[in-house]
Amino acid sequence: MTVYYGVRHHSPACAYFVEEFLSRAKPDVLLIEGPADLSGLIPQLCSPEVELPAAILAYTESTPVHTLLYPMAVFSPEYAAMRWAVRNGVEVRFCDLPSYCVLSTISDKSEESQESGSPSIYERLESAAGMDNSSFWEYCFEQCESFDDLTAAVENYGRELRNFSEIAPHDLLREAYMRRIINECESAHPDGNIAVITGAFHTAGLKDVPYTERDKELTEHLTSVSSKATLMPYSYFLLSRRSGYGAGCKAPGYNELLWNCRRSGDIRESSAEYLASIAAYQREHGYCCSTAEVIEAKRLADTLATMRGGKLPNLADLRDAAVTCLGHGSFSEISVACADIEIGTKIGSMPEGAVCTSVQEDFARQLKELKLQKYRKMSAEELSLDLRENLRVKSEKAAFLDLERSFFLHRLSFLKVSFCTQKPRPQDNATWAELWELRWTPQAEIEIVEASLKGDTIEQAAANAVSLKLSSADSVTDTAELLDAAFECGLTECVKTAVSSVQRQTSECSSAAEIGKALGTLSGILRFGSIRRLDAGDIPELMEKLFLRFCLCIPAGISCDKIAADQLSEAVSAVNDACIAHDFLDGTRFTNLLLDIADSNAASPFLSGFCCGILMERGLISTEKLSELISRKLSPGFAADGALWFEGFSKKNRRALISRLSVWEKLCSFTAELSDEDFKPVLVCLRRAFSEYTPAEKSDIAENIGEALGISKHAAAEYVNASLSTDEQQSINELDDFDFGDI
Amino acid sequence: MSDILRLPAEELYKNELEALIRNEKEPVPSGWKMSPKSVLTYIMGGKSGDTVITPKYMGDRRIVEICIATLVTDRALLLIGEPGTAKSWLSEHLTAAINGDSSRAIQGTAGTTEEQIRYSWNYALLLAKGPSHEALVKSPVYTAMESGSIARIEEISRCASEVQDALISILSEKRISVPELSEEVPAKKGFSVIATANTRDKGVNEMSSALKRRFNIVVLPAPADMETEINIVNTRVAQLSDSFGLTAKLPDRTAVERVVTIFRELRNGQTLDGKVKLKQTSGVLSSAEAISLLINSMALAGSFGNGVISDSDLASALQGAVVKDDSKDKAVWAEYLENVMKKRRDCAGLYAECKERNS
Repeated sequence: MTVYYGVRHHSPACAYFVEEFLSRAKPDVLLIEGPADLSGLIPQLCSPEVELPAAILAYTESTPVHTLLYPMAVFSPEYAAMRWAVRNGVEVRFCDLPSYCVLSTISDKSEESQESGSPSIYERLESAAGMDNSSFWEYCFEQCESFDDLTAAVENYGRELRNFSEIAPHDLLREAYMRRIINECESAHPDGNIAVITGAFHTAGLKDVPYTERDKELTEHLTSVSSKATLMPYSYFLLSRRSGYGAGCKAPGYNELLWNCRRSGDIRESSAEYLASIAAYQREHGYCCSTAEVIEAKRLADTLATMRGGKLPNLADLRDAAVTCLGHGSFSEISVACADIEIGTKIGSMPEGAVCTSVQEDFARQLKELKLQKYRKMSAEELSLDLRENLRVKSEKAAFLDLERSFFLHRLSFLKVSFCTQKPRPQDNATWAELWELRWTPQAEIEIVEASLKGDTIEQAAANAVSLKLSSADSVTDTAELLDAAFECGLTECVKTAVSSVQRQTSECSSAAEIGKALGTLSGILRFGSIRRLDAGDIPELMEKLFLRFCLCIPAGISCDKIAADQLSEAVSAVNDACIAHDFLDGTRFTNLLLDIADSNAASPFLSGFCCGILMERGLISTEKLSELISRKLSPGFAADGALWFEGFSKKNRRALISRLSVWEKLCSFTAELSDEDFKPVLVCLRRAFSEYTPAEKSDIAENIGEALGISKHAAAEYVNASLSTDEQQSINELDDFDFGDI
Repeated sequence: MSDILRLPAEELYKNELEALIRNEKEPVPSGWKMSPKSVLTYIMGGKSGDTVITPKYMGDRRIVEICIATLVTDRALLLIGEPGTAKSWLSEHLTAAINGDSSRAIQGTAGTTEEQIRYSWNYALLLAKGPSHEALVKSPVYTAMESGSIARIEEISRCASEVQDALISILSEKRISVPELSEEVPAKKGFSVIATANTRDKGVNEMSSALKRRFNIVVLPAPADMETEINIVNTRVAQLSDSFGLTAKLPDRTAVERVVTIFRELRNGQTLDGKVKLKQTSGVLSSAEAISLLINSMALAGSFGNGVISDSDLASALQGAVVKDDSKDKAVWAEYLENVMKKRRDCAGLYAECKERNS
């Protein structure tokens, strides 16, 4: 005989009465809605070492990766049934469409939107019941006191749902498949009992529709993709977000509370339990929350439930009562407590060996080897690394533990696994220090599984990912950054390939800005790379090539607008740093180049000023030449150009600039001769130029200008610090509307 | 039409209340005129027998359910919200439905005394005959306790703290003592208090936490979406213009929509599409103000215009409603006109009128 039990996924009531159903039915075979090809995972899932929530994850083996999740919690009826079967030695199997078939349909329709336009059956149900679906379920089913009440109600519910909605072709196919499996079981056990546990919606379709040859035809040739499956730990947080399995579950924490109340004997305790938990949470976090308020909240919740036609308060009633009485009318006061109680922070765990992909195993192994296991938890924790050799330990492995950790974490972050995030360095120039934030989430586990498509170990996957990106990187800057990434990940082979790609691309690239930036990146690798104990090899040679290319390319691009000039100045600055750091680059050539740009009248004034600034900073320009340049560039009649030039000029070397009185005298006479109309753009540029200076520097500048104008220090300070008159304020405000035009 | 300027709710909706009482099927709590469900129907609208019940409060049904459930559990109810979120309106209709009488109300002001909450004396009688029942002048709260009904206290936070505190003992003991007569008056079943308080008012007395604990607090939100607000404004404008006997035509949908849009945008500090950030005015610009603004412009159009609200009438009314604190609001309004309204093609006429008035 075949008996059916309809459930709602993640319903504690259904899970609670599953045992009664099974002990009455005494099945020889138990069939559960779930991918038929993954029945093998059931014993593992039910082993006592597995802590729920956990999920069965099926994924396609080729990109783009599609995944299919079947999450389970302690209050899932399916899980309760599986536990029962395993405990009683009853054969238990999944009977729904195999995962490879479902995955293949997902990949097919990934193009179009998942949901159709018409309101779903649940939306219609909500408008008919006047409350949301989960409230309706809670009143009518979750609060049932006996097995018979519940099964009768649920069966009716499933049947009505079918009458009201059009059944999707995919569901028809699933039911045909399930009927076929049931039929096969029946023929295999002609005298045995078979129990079938599925969603209530399908139960009616299985029970009322007889198995026919057509079902067999339909399910004979299923589409498929090559896929794999694994178990993975899951979290209540994800369970509340994703609804991969059936209707999902908005409040797993609350469901667990209901489940515990059921098991301890009285579902009526649940409302007091919920409200008291909220109150306890509030008290723990420093809010005042009296027992009297909890009592009032309970009374209000009960009244609300009666008004809405329920026997016991449901979650919505409880929440409303909690907001009114415990939150004093505002949800924000108790929102954190609600999230904690209703959703919860629980995450599951798997024993070692239960995970199936090699990358997952590699991840677990590396965590152990690198002593990072304690970071495998939901709360974020910081880890600071010292990449230098630790001289106080014996083995070489221990000496470079932090370096290995850094490689590992860099590889993970390159693979976009959200387990770790690098934070800015605690100290500016400590190149041997790294600061990471580690936080394990089920999401990270999924990302690790996805990484398995790229390789069998994390190192391999990272190397493949770098190579893949290298092959599609088309600018020299990107490639250089990938080279840097390969360096950080400690991928020796990739470093070599990246170097040769940079080499190849250099000769094709003619953008000085990009070459300059790439040169800066390489210089960084060369300077700080030794800490990573990787062979720099061809990099100096490559840099020389890039440097030459930069010197050849830049003259063609110097007459440009402000945006391009900004980029070029960054590149010039990077190359300048590289020149200072590495003797093998031709410094004289670079100096001459800078002199040319500084002297050129055609160059962008900003860039020209910037180059001049570098030369002054490094003392590579004679005083006469400098004063000639300053007077020329600040010629009257070229107001906007002059101001832009000064902006570039002042970008680099503040102290050197401030100490040069002659510069300020020139600037004063330049601004003094401007017409009112020309003064505005100049003022805007100067304000921009000085905006990055510290107050102390600004006051030094004011003193300099005061001296240039022949005003005493004190008078200057007094004038500068005086508050603005209304007229002055207004003219400054008018500048807000200044039209920048070409500047 | 009645010659009374403003009829109390129970008079205005007498038919509906009677129909609800006639068709009552659910159990009625003691001291109440109808069941909680019927009160809900009265407030949110629906049908009772053949009588159509008009909606009195347009907004979240859950909020009204919480209010009613609070009163069923004999807890006092405190309605909090920004000005113009229908706090007093809701409290009046709740008492009208529950007791058939919304008149037991105390208006909280800075001058409200403790006697107005408890009881006072007819001093002529007191001096002539000494303390007696005849000389006792009962407050609305006192009579509500005697009759087992609900008393309303408007703007409770405007009362001085000691006056507010007079309520504490009444709400926890549920009795009032008259030591002069050596008597204690216990409250009958059904007694409760609905108080309202503003969140945006200046110069209010913060309620003590001891008093707050004795209330269930419900925060009334501003209308959640444009459609609800337009609906509220339309309904109320029609009702009011009827009772004031205004001759002008009711504002058409575009006029209402424009006013509500302007109000919502200035209230939320951004345009409806969320693309432009706006400065907010010092006033709250509630739906209640939008209603009185439209009534105002109807009066203007009816008395001095051609009976149809023109852009010019609307602009005058808007100027008055938006610009309260002269210097700041004026700038905010000017900015709104230039940055938002000017760019809306269909508002060109209104824009010109508004600009002229704001200069």
